Amino acid sequence: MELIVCIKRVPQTAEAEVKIDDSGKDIVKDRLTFDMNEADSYALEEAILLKEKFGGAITAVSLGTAEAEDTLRIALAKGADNAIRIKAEEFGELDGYKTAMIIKEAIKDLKFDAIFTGCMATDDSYYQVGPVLAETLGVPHATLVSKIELTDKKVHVNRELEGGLIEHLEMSLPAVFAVQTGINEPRYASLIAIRRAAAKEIKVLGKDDIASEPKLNSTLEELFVPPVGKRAEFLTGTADEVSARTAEIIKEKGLI
Amino acid sequence: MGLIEMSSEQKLIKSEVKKFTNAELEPIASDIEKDCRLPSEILKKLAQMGLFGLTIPEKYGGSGLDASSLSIALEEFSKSCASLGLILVVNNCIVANLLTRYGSPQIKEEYLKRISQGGIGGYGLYSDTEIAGKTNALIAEKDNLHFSGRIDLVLNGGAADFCIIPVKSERGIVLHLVNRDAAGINYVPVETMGMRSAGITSLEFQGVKLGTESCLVGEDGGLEAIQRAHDFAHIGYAAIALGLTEASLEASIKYAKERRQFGRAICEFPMIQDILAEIKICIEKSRLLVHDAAHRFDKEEGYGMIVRIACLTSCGGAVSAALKAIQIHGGYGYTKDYPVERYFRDAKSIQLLGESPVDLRAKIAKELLV
Repeated sequence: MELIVCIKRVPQTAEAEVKIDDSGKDIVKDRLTFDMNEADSYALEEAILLKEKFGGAITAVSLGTAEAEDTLRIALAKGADNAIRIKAEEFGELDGYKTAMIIKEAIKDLKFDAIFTGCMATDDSYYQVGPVLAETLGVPHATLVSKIELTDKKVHVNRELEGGLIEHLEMSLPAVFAVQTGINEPRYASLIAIRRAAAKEIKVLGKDDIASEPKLNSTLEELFVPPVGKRAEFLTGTADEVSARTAEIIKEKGLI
Repeated sequence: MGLIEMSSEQKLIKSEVKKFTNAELEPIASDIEKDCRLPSEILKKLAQMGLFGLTIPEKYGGSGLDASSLSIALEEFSKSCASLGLILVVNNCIVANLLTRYGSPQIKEEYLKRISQGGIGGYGLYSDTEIAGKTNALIAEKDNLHFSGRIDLVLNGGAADFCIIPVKSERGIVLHLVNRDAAGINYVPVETMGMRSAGITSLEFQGVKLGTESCLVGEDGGLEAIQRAHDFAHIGYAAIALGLTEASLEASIKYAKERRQFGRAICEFPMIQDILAEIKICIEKSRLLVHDAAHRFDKEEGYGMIVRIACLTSCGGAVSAALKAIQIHGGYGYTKDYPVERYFRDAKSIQLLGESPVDLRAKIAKELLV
């Protein structure tokens, strides 16, 4: 099987203090650590499991700056065979659509049976790369994938819906799968594999290698921390004063 | 560019070990320490990552990495769990080092491969300091092939598949290799102040046969072999201590930002800021020394003194930083609700497991006065 996995290097913000930078359109990243987007690591593991079962090769692709090559090397150490970095620094502002279109241009000549992406990136949460890739490549896709089983060129896929529901689909290959976290247990890269991956060549593509530069579908206007709403009012005073004010509030809200 | 420039490979190792420790170790570090246990599922994953045989040559199934890479992994690892850092030091710096350097082809083939696949090697700490006429090495009885006695401190004894032990002979020290299931040996857990998950034991011998077939290093080379392995181990101890100091700083910053006194977070008080700065200075100083020591060890260029300086600085710094962290936490720092008391106990243990600070300083002075 020929498999492609899209990987994004993202800042780890779950437990860090996040501050907005002076441009008002990005966060201060100086003291943040970066790693493979969480859902992408599950997507990669799913591809590795399929490769281990059915053979073939995995190509990991990332649209990112030079540092993203470290993330691609971890993918190589875990089980990817080839890696491609597309120089994000040459494409200016990115949104979900433009990111997907650039990746599509970079991989459109590669033979593939399946493309794996994470269902979302933890930094911008656009949820777009998987579906846009599939639509523009003209192949089916499934999002929020929580299980994949392959039999005779048919794929049985579970999708995780709200309310604890699971949707079971039958699909044919080639297809795009936007994988949900928790679908498997991503492995750690072994040190010997890291050593070997550190010496592997990563193919780097720039603007000149992409036929035409895709346009943005949306423009980021502003990042902001939502104002904290007034959640509780403490009433003070004598019992009469407090009860009078309580009655007033109930009337104001139109409850009586 | 700073003085320490990690290679791409080392950055990846650091990042992957960090990911492992954050996800797998940090959540259970306090519990396993309280229970003095070694979770087998963690050991299995560590073995799969190749950490047990990090410095073992690739032809024996190891990762073939050097002391510098080991230090980076240990520093990261020990921020969460210094006990397991100690296990890796003993496996790599002492046991694998002695086996690689002195083992016969058959011994290397068997024991190095065992470690690479997840085996743990124990090491009976040798000390020539006599306490009430007793040294921490077996002493031959009349029948010079059968030994009885006790080794007080065996590192990795709790989970060791085999053990390297010092045996005192008339002309020196012989290092023997004994399998865990050998007749007449008994591992006895030792209650320790820190490093409680590291499986430190003592080892009792009752008529155990130790002949030429179990001999790893003969009496002519025993002491030199021990010194060389201890030098490497001291780099590991220093790296563990560095990780502990970083953990103390992280815990202190987190607490000082959360804890409010007199209407503001205590991190706003100059005295607290002064302590935080002191710990940070200690980290940077120790890191430079640890990496320099590891680099020189890898290049085999006059590393003895710098290893001792690194160990003294980093281990002493870890003890001091943990005490400062406890102080910042106030009464809470004394409780097991916060990890800083564990950092102190582990730091004090790592300071004492190697050569004592007095001995290290004496060796530095001796070298200065040649």
